[in-house]
Amino acid sequence: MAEAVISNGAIPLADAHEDTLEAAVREHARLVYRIAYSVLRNHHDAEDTTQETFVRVLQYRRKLEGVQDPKTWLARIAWRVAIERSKRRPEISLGESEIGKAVGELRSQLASAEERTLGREMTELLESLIAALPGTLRDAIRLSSVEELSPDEIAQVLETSESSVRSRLFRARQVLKQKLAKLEGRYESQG
Amino acid sequence: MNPRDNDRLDQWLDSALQQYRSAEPRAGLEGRILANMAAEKQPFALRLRWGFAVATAAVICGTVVFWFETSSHVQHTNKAVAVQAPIEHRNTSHLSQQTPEHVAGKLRMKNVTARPRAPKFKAVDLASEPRLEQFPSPSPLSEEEKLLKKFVRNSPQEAVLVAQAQAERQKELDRLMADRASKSESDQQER
Repeated sequence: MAEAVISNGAIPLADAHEDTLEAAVREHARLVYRIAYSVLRNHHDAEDTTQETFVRVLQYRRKLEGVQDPKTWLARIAWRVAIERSKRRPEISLGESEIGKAVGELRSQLASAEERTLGREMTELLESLIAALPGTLRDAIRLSSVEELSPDEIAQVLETSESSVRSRLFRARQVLKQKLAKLEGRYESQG
Repeated sequence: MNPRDNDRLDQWLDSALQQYRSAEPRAGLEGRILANMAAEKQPFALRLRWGFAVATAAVICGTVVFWFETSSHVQHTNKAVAVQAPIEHRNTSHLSQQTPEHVAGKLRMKNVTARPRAPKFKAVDLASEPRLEQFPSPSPLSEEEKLLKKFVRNSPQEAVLVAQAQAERQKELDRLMADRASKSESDQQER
């Protein structure tokens, strides 16, 4: 039976043979890492979360028999572990000078048609704006930053429908744009 | 926000989110995960082995204790039976000199000492011993007792007189003994 599941592309982690588990690590470690990073925005924490996710898989593999979609299953575990870890961390808060610097950079980038690269301040500003979004919108936009996950898979991780995910992403972008425009206007009037 | 600004912000946000999602783990992530999992797996296997060893030892100890208790109980029961037989034999030979209460008391003492100490098997011991209707157990009268009984039945008045005379003589004897004891005490004090 295990062989049949493998041939279908699924990994029977419940009866995980060492080789099967190793294959899962090799195939999905990067996905797990990116999910963790999308939440924690820190390489060290993301790696720790990836390790913890696979340790959990090792511990509970016998309980979870017949996993049909190991990718989504792993993604869901990684997501939960990352969320748990993020709750133990202090929230990101930017100083006024850092916000001013980031908005100046944003304005110059918006004015020119050159290739845009995000500086440290801009990245931190974007992170703080995303962190300040309502929970459902924040989760959707964070998971959408993971290249390996399709909207359908994001929906499975968040235990909602695909259309709901698309709607949340749209609304999240709207809110982010409004906030950025507001910040730009505020600093323009100050300048 | 005018449509032009909206488009600019949209483009910028696309580009920013594109860069936001670029998170690459350090090289060798899979190897580190597998090494960590192997390290986690070993204590788990050891714990399992220890648990099994402790459980086996507990079962062996339990079996040994049970066997010991059972065999000692059998020995005690046999001893009790062996002790009871000579007492009954001796009892019949000494009945002429001892009162039934005296003999029954002795019998009780012997039985108490011969009974196994383990409270677990108390019920079994009681069940194995013969249950008597009267306590202390009645014993046949000696020849002297039979004669005395006959005398009391035939001439009760004389028996009362004899008993009274006996009691008075006993009192006199007691008084004489007390006088002798007081005399000897006073002599000792004078010396």
